[in-house]
Amino acid sequence: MGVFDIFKISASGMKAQRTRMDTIASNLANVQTTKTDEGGPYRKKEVVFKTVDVSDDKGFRGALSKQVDGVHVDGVRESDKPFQQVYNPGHPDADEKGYVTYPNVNMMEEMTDMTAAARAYEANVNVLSTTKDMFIKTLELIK
Amino acid sequence: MELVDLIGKALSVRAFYHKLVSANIANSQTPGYKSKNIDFRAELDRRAGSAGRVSQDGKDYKVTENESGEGLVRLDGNTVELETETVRLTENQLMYQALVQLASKRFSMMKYLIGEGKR
Repeated sequence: MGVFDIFKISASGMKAQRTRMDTIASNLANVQTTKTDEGGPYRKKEVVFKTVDVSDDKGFRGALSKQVDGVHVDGVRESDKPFQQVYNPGHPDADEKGYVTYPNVNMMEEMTDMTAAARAYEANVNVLSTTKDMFIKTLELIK
Repeated sequence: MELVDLIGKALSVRAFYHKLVSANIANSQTPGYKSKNIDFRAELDRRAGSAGRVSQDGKDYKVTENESGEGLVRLDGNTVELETETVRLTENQLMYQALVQLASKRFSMMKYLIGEGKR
């Protein structure tokens, strides 16, 4: 487990949180979208995280650090939560009873998710900069 | 092999690597650009035995391109990941710093000897 493996783990965390932010941006942009290529309203996108071995070292030292993993986005899946029905007879996508099916995106949920993603990203950056400071302190030994 | 010579070569490879990562970051929005990388260990091993200076123009480096990218693939075919490149840049900067300090320590030891142990 070298210092630079910690760097790679932090980078993997930052990448994963950025991808999560991408999906949140997409969800928020499409909060009122009633038409999609697949037909029907927009479906909320969710990222699925999975642990991944980020070490380049496949030798003995690599085997020792096996239990320390980074993270990557395993995939983006569509939420199967029910859509919202809103009564709006004038809408072009309203059904015969006058109800429009809106996306299953909850704006409050997305906003809290966004804050969580930003904080998680920040946490990874903090780990990175602390690790860097530790390394620089070690370097001072040979001054 | 003389230690200072080895440190010099390692510094040259680090300097080239810095150029490579800078190019990757500069092209992070260029459609179709593939992230470039070198195997530091292999490059240094190849040079450690041979005498002479390491050229900086990159002609004798084995540069590999990341064709497919990791995780979610971007539509423009670009495989640069800003986080990965930033981490590489930091790692390289720290290792460069470490090498410079090693060389500087070595020189100060020589200076100490030349001065017959007086400071």
